[in-house]
This record gives sequence, C-alpha cells and structure tokens, in this order.
Amino acid sequence: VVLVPVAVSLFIQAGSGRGLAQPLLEHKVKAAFLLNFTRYVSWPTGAFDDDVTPIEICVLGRDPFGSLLDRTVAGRSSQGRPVRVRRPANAREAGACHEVFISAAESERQPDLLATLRDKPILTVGETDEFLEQGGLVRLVVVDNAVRFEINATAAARSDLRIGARLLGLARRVMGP
Amino acid sequence: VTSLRDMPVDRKVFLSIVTTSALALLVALTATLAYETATFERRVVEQLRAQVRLLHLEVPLRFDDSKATSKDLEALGTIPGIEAASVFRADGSTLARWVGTAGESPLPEGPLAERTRFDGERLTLTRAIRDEEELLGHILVVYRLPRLPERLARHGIVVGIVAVALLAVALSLTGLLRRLVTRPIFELATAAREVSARKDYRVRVTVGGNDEIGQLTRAFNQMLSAIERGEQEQRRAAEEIRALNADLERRVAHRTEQLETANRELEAFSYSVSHDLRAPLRAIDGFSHLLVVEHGPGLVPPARAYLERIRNATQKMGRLIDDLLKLSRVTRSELRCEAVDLSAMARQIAGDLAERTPRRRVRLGIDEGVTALGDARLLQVALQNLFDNAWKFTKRRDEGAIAFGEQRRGADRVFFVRDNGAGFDMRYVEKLFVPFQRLHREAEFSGTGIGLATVQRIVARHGGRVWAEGEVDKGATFFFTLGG
Repeated sequence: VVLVPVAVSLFIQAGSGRGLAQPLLEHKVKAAFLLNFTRYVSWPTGAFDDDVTPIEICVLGRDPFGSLLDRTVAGRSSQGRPVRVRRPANAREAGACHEVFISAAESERQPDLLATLRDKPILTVGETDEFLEQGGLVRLVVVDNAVRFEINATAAARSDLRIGARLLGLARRVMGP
Repeated sequence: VTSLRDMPVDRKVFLSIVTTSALALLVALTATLAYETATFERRVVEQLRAQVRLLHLEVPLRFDDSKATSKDLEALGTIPGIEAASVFRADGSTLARWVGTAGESPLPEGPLAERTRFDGERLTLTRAIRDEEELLGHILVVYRLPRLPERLARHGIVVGIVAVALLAVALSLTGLLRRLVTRPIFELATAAREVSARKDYRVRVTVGGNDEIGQLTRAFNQMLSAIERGEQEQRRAAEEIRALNADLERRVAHRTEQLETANRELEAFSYSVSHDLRAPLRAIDGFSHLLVVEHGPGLVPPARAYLERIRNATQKMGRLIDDLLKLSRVTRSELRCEAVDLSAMARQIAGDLAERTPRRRVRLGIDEGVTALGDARLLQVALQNLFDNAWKFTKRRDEGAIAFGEQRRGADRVFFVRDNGAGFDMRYVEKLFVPFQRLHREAEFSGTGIGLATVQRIVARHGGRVWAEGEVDKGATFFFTLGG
C-alpha cells in the first residue's frame, strides 16, 4: 500500500506524457514490466524452495536501471511471494534467478548468456531484435512511443514455464508451435 | 349501467371472468415490468462483476495497453443493454473507451465517486479494478434500461398467449358455470315468468343441488305449493259464499213473497172491514137522523142531547172509515206518472178551503210554476192533506199565513208547505207520520191521525221522502221530495 504512489506516479508520467521521449521514463516502464511479468508466469514447483521463497529478478551484465528497478520492486509482492532484485556476476550465478534481464548493451555476449540459461525455468527478458531467435523468452520493444513485448512460446514451453493466456494476448507477437 | 343490469346472467359471468382475468394479466404485466425495473441494477451489477472477472482487465492495465483494453471493451459492448464503457488508470486518466453505435452517450471523463448512478433510463456503474490488493484503475459501464415499448413488445407474445389461454379458460368456465349456475337460474326465471303470465301455480322447477340456487328453487316450489293451496282454499271459500248468497237470496225472495202476501191479505182485510163497517154506520146515522127529525120535539131535552152526541160520533166514525179507505187506496192503486202543475193544484185546494170557511182570514203565498212528475190523483190527496193541516192549525191566528213553494237542495227539488200555526215540539217529530199518532188533543184540533201517514205513503211511492220542521206556537213546515 505504501508503494502504490510509485506505480501511480509512473503511470501519471506514462499517461500524461503519452510518449517515451526520455530514456528515464522508458526504463521506469520497463522496470514495471519486469515486475508485472512475474505475476502472469507460472514456474515449476521445483523453482522455489518453499512457499515464502522470494521471486528473484536478476539483471545480467550492464544495468540500465540504476536504482529504478530496486525502487520499483521494493516491498512489492507477486503471486504471494516477496520480490527481490539481484545482480549476478555471471550466467552461472544467474541459474537460481526466476527472471533474468539482459540489456541491449550486452548484445555481443547475449547468445552465450542465453545458451547458458537455455531450458532452465528462467524467464529471460531482452531488448535486441534477434533476442527471441537466440532462445530468449520475452522481448521488450518500443512501438509508437509505447513499450510492448513479444513472446517465444516454444522456448517458454521448453523452459517448463507456463505463460498466462492474458499475457500472451497482450503480446505484440507470439512465436510458437 | 342499465344495459349491464339487463344482460343475461351467463353473459355477465363471462364478462366478469374475462374482466378479472384481464385485470390479473395487467397486474402481472405491471408487476413484471416493475420487478424488472427494480431488479435491473442488481442484475446488471452481477453481470458486470462476472464480465470484469472474466476479462482480467488488470493485465492490460498493468501493461498500460490501451489497444487491448479497447478490444476488451468492444467485446463487453456486445452484451445487450451496454451503451458505453471506459477504463481509467489509477490516476483517473482514460486508458480506453468504447461507445456503442446507438448514439452519443454521456460517458464521463473520469471514474464517478459513486459506484452506482441511476437516472431513470441509464445506469452508470463504476468499479475499481484491483489485483493483489493493489488499485490499478476503474471501469465505468453505462447501461440503458430498455424503453417501455421495447419491454412491452418483449412481453407481448407471452401476454398474447396468456390472454388467448385466459379467453379459452373463461369460455370453458362460463360453460361450466352455465351448467352449474346459469341454467338453474334461467329455469327458475322461466318458471317465474310462466307463473306470473298464466297464473298457473302447478308449475314446479327441478331442484339441482343444495347450494343457494337449490335452496331458492326449493323455496320457490314451496311458495308455489302454498299459493296453490291458498288458491284452492280461496276458490272453495268463494264457492261457499256464492252458495250461501244464493240460498240467502232465495230465502229473502221467499220471505218477501210471504210478506207481500201477508201485507196484501192485511190490506184486503182492513179494506173489507172498513167497507163493511160503513153499512151498519149508515143505518145508525140514517135512523138517528129520522129519530131527530120525526120525534125530536117529543123527546125530553136530555134524550135529545144524547141523540145529538150519537150523531156526532157516527159522523166522526164515518170520516175515520173514509180516511182508512183512502189510505188503503193509496197503497193499492197503480201509479200513473204525468206532468202535474202543483201551483195550480195548491191554488185550487186553498180556494176550496177559503170558500168552505169564509170567516177565516188566511194570507196565501203560493209560488207560480211549480211542476212535478207524478200521479196527479195521489199528489192531489197529499197536497190536500198538507193544506188541510196548515188550515186547521192556523185557526187560532187572527191572520193565518200559508205558503207553498219549491227549494233546491243540491240535486234535489224540495217542495214545502209552511204555516204560522200552532207548530209542534221537535222532540216528537218522529211520531208525526205514524198512523193514529197525534201531537194535539182532539178538543184543540180535530183529526183522525191518518192524514200525514197518507202523505208519507204517497211520497214514498213516488220514491221521495217527507220530513217536518217546527216549533211550538211558531208554525210548522212540511218538506217533501218526489225522487227521480
């Protein structure tokens, strides 16, 4: 409840601005998306130790958010679990994450990173055009000054993740069988 | 109202069933519409809650996806009754809106403070969209209550079917009621009409059951029985009375005949007695006269006085017999009616009386032109008697006064003879016309006591009546009528 104003203020700027002219605003929305994705994805039971294990959102490599993501997630819960932000040093360390964000700045390392995380119950989120083709699950894209996303359903199925139908419905593109 | 009252009972029954049913139908329809209106909000709220839960609008709200939200609202708009809808973000700005093609809809620019606003035709609902206790935004939906004609049309088919069914039920019920109620009443009415028209009280109506109509029919039959019995009794009583009357008449006729016979015999007897008495009386009179004439001078004075008294008595007896014979004749003789000049008759009688007693001074007042229809001979006798009386009872007056004339009393012509003589006491007026009854002593006024009886007999035979008014020493008036 304390953090509702954060989300509200985000949307005030998003709504009234009607655009993402500033990179800051774009990152704010993307941070919110990262949190919201966790709400509509089902992880396999083995992905959590117990009922109170937090959902870990990890930023692998360059972090474009600064403190934005931490502020967005602070005190929030998703699917009845607390949410935590972690910045693992390498892909191996990211193995315990539930969601991993790879920024566009890591496009060169990206295929390797994705290969490491492949088939694990990890929701990978990226920004580059070929992110889904390289095995990523969710690609963030800016269309008409609004942040949208695309989903690789095949990869999600391989990763043993179930993506909510409503989320799939919002996707601009769904790669799938 | 009158035509309704005169309507046959089964028509009334049919009409009342149809009216009641139609009223019930109308009430049901009104109640349905009222119920619809009353429950409209609740139904709509439930519908909306289910729809919103189904749409999961929190997801597009989370991702600020106005395009997807617009699609969702469009889908929501296919539900009949929804006119417009919009989704607002938590800050109140519009994420998406949809307005139906039905026309412009007053879609507010932000969520309403109240969850429900109802303006009679439109229901505007505002609901918060939450996810995991977090307020994400609001959805606002404008519903329109279908207009009355539309709703009536929707119910029209049902109402029509029910109306036809009601009509059928009413018809069959009327048939049933006709058998149970109307026909007995009709039979009763027919019987009543027949009874009153023909006065035939032997009619009976078949009793159907033991309900009010049955009781009425039974009472009607009992009443007819009672009337029939009464009628028979009355007829028997009338028969008895007629028989009694006939018997009575026969007996009266018989008695009258006997009386008339007795009367005739009595009159014949009195006539013959009177007549037969005259012969010996004439002998007494004749021989006593001879005795006076031939041997009178030789008789001693007392003997002559005795003889004189015998002669007076004889003459008086002669007059008495004459009067009795006259009275008898009045009763027996046939009545011959003609126009009689009573004035002339009265003048002649008065003239005779004046001539016979020239020393009397009597003032006569006889009205002219008094005529009557009657038997001249008998009326002469009656007037003679009345004038004789008047003449006789005025003899003590220095100047007597006798009047004759006619008065009108209503429809009757009343004749009168008035004098200023001795008069009489009204207490004894009844005795005046009884034979041999006299109000004065013989020494004062001579007479036989038969005169007024004769007058009454004559007047009675003419169908009239006679009466008198008087006062002692003030004179007397005798009135008579002669009937038709």
